[in-house]
Amino acid sequence: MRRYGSAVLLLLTGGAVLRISLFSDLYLRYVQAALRPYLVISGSLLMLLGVVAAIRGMSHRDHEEEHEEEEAEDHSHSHGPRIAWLLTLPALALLLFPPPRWARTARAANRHSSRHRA
Amino acid sequence: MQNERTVVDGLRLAVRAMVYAVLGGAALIAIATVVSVLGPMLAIDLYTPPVAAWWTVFTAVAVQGVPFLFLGTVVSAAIGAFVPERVFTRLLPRNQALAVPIAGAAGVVLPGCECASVPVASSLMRRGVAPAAALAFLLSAPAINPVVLVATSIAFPGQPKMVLGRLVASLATAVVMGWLWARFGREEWLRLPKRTRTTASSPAGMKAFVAGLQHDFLHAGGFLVLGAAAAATFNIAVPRSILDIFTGSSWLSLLLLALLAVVLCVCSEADAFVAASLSGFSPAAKLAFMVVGPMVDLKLIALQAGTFGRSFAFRFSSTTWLVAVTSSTLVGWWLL
Repeated sequence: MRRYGSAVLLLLTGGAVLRISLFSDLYLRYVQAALRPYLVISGSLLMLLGVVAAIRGMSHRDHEEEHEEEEAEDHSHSHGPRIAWLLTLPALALLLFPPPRWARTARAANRHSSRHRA
Repeated sequence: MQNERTVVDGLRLAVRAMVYAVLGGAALIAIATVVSVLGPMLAIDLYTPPVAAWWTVFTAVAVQGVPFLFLGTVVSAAIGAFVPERVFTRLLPRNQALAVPIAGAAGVVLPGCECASVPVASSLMRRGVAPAAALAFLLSAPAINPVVLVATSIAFPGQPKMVLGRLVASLATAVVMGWLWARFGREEWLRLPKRTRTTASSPAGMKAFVAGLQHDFLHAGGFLVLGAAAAATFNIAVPRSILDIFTGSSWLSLLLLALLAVVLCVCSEADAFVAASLSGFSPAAKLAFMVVGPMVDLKLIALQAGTFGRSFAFRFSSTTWLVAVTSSTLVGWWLL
């Protein structure tokens, strides 16, 4: 499990970002509309990175005896940084229960856009 | 014989991948179903309006930061894996007093919000750039890049002085902070990242790039979430009515907006719009908000603490805040 920790985190984060930007309009609750392409790009790249990490984790197990030196060098990287597990909080929140739009920020955004139009 | 082995290995890998995907997917669906059924029952009791607001602000700050943090870690991993050290020693003059303004001006090339600048600066330091110059870059990049300046000009239509003031004040703060570090900074305050220079022995640049990107993003992402949580907590705990008390005095309002910028953690592309919407405050105060925001805020402090160490983060942030407030006061008094 330790080997796949990084992959899981990357896939979760990428998936959450993609869910709110590519597959729905939920991102408008949290960020401005102009940010959408950046969210989509970074979400997809994160998922790609997660897949690469998962594949690397699996191939490491197969070639354990052959590449002992690589193992020793990568030992510090084989489990991701522990603080990264905090990423599960916003990722799961976005995937399971996206928080609603905050009234105060909505009011500020409306105030700004109406002033802009005038 | 060798070819057979690699084909069989490949097949085994593919089969294992499919099994994991199916099992993992099934487990995830099961967990999601249970949580989505039990969740609302639990959540209704806990989901008071302040808690709901906390979650919204928390996820908003986190989501805002992710694309730029990713961009920053891509650049930082690329610097670590692909750019030879000689490039930097040749680009920047050896004399630190000269290198700082150049690095500060170079901040114009890194678009994006402040989340990107911390990993890039850390990577630059690892590649031999003097900390003073890298720190000047760290402060200036989120504030003077073209995206932010354009956003500022859009948010304050017909007021080019705001854009100019932001540029001048931010650059001045970054350069002054770089010089201060060059003069007074000490090695032990700055905890450089553990990874030493392995470029001589690393197998392929691409592999090092991917590994570096993975590690840097996850590491920084964790601290981004921490900062987002702090920002959400402060945001909910401090009532907005406090703002109305201070709109009278111009000095106090400047200090107040400078403090608000630290707590609100708005990405530097958007902070011009937030500043413009703060009605009743003097232009100098709004300038202070825009200058302080990209340089000192809770998520930045968390990122810096994670990358460079806690003692550095607190020393650096507090000094930066003072210098930024002074600089925006002077520029505001001169220009606005």
